[in-house]
Amino acid sequence: MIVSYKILKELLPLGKSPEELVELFPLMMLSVESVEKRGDDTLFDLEITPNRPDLLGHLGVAAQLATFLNLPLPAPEFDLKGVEGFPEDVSVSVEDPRCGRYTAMVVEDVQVGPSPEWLRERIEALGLHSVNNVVDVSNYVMMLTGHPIHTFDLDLLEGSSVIVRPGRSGEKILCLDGVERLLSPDEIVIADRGRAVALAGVMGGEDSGIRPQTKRVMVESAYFVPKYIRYASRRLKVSTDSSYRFERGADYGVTPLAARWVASLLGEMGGKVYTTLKDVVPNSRSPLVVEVRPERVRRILGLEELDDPTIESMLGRLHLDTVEKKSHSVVVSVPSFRRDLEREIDIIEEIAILHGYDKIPERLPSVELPSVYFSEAEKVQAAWEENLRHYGFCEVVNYSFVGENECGWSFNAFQPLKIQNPLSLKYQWLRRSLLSSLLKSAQYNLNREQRGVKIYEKGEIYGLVNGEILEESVTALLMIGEEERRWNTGTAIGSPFLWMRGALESFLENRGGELELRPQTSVPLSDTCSWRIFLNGKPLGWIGEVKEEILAEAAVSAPAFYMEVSNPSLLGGVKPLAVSKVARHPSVWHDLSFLLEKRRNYGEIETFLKRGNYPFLESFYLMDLYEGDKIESGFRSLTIRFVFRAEERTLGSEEAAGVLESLQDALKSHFPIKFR
Amino acid sequence: MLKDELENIKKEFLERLALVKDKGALEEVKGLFVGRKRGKVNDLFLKMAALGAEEKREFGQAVNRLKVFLEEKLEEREKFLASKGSRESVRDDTLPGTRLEKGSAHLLNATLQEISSIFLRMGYSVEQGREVESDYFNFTALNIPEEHPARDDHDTFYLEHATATERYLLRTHTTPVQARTMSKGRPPFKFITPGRVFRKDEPDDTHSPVFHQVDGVLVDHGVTFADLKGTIKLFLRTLFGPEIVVRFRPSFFPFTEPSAEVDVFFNGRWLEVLGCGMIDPAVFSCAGIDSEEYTGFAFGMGIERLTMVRCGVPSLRLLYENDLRFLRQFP
Repeated sequence: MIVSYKILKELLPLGKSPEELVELFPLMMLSVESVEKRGDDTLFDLEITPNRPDLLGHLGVAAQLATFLNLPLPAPEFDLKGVEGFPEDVSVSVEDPRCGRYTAMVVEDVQVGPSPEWLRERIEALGLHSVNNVVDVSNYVMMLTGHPIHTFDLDLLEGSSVIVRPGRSGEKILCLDGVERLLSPDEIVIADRGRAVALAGVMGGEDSGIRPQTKRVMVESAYFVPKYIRYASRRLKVSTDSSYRFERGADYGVTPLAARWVASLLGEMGGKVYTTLKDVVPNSRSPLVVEVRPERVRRILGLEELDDPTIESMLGRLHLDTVEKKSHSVVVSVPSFRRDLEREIDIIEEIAILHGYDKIPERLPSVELPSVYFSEAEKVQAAWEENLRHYGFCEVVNYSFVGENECGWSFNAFQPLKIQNPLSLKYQWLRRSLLSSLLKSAQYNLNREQRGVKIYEKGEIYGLVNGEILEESVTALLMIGEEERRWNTGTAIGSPFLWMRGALESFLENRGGELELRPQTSVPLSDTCSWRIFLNGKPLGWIGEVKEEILAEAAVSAPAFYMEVSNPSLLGGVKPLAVSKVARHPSVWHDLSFLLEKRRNYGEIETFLKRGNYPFLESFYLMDLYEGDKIESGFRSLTIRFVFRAEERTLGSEEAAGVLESLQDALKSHFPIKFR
Repeated sequence: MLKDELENIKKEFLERLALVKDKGALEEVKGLFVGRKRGKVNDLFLKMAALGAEEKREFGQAVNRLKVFLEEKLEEREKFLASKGSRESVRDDTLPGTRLEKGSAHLLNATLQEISSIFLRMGYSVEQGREVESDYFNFTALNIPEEHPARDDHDTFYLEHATATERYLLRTHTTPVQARTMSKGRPPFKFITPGRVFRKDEPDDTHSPVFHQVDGVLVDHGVTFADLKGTIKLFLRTLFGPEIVVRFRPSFFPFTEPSAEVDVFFNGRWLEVLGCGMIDPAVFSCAGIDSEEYTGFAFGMGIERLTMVRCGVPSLRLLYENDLRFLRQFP
């Protein structure tokens, strides 16, 4: 809200410069968005929090300043000249309990026209458009008091009557913005004898408002129960300065003052004011009282030194009158412009702000310790991600929403979840896999000087399973482009598939997880390279080459490999790291080189060797691989290193050689291989 | 006995070998240990004569291994000495250092981890929640009923899926995790709730429909606003450095009272970095906690904003573009 320094000074003997106010405002709930010098005035654009509708007018801001500067409450002064009484032909009745008060005044002989210079200047300074003198006066008084005012052309009200009632089903109203709106009993309307003439608290009607030829003006200053204005504003999708204030809570005590102020200004411009108000209060309100315990104030704020008399004097400065003093508490009454102060804690906050947050001491709490800070799963997750970074993968972060097609690129059968009010169609579904996210990041980078990408993302996938909303945390890897590593013989190791698989295997190596890959088709992966990953026999995730059709749709031109694992399954399947003994006796190793037909897998040999039982064989691993013209075509050369060791003594090399021989025989009898 | 002798010879040999600087000295060490005549290893073979057959075999193997080891080392040293003299082996030490192609954690998650670790060191634990949340826990349980204007600040994504009693949405803050956790247990509570949140904002330099928060809560007997101030200042000094100037400014959140925005004076201006306050009695009451017995504070901060402030990231879009040239700057 825009606040004028000049107006504040008219309301209060401020004694502070605009610069001082800019420093002061943030300490009293008024956040300064911007400051503008305009002529001899300074305008502050203040951000008002939703709990403080009282600050949506200059009077409220002045009252707040009065509290902090220890000044008396501002009392606006204006002359109300005119004839006593209220025109007899005008009737006002309230038939809807959602209207808490309806105050009306009548001004006759009004000359509608441009506003006087001073008013036009102020209206524009406060960020509003000057319309005509009558509308400008009501807007001006709204900016002064914070209270929305509406004016009717009384001659356009059938029977000169105003009835506040619920809207009727099927009833229509053409509003001031030119939009015709269909009403229902959910809305409060202002009506004359025949029709609705205004949408209460929100907007006036087109055919009852001020026109150039208007002579008799009825000023409406009313109070509506906040939530009903909010419902109406939301249902009809219209928000105005008026509804904004009413839904936050207007001041039902200020309606006569606001009406008089409007009438007085219209009188100054030549109107004939009927000085008597028509003030309809369907249900009288008892003032709000709150009990405040000074001890509680100290306990919440940690301000031991704040004694009872200090607290009581602060209550006074907050315009809270003491109604009753009890032995350990004070009962205060809350002024009508501070209906947000409903509970003791609300008043404690006011005391804290008035005292100054900067003057509250600082302490560190001592609290009984929680049982764990960091769960085992979190530690393992961190180690897993660190391993991926060692492998050169960069983490990316993407939105959780995807388009309809992308939502289909998934390994699971979750029923997809749809957003009712998405930002756009491409963000309408919650992702069921991270594949489309990673493809999007890959595509972005391939278009920007990157030859290959190695990226990973950790995130939730979502879906509906048996009517229950399910979320699962997964880690996904995407790799495009060959890894440059080579075997000793110069053959490229090369496959992104093996690189990703290695990232997973190496993580599990000392954590006791048995990993197994089984070929299984899936929606996202190509039929020739789609593997389901199992950890200790339980499904963990998927790895393989992304289907061409999907790559085409994602505009990725290079082959891409993808792995997605469930984080809970991964973390649940591993054991904590434990030290295993380092061998004391030396090992003996032998290398075995042989030619294997290209159509046979290394995996077959590995499985075969693992199943066998060979004495002293501690481990074996593929040491080298050669494909090229130095060997028979259709074959490749593998070199496996076998490591032998005896636990309690030094193994003789003849013993190892014996075992190797039996190994060789076993391999020869099961595979068509040629030893080199 | 003999075994010890073996170890001693090995040790002495390695000590002397390390001091060898030229071929003459190398020959000397060679003669001393593996020389045919007076070499120490040879002497060992002579000592074997007195042993029984079984012992002799075992000891013989051990001495042989020692001999092989010593000869390998001598050869190694010889090569090393030779390379030092030769012209071809001159290294160019001004060539660029070898770089490993490292991966990197995303700047957002790195910041999130850093913030979390500060609170972990202060004794907070971590509670995780769900990103798809019920309307009740996201709003009502946090003192934001249907008609509350504060809902205007939370442009919410709703899901089409709903049950007879509950509407579902993408959580607009991680504060519901506080409500859920507190309604499950008994005080004291001391935890943070890091995570992803959603608001219906068009992406621009300062907005994103997806962003991240760390919220925290501490509840016990006798927790005061002074405890809140001490905690937040310690946190910000740890994150920004001990000299950082911190300001508490009154503000409004439906779930805390008194509430404060916290600013730091950074690069010449005040920057809003987090919100906090004493937990509102209405929130305690929803969680079934007696607000007369317990008090507590809560705080929350946006990770995107903190990251941008701290690392000088000019636009929030950069954080979601995932340009590798950007990501690799923060390994």
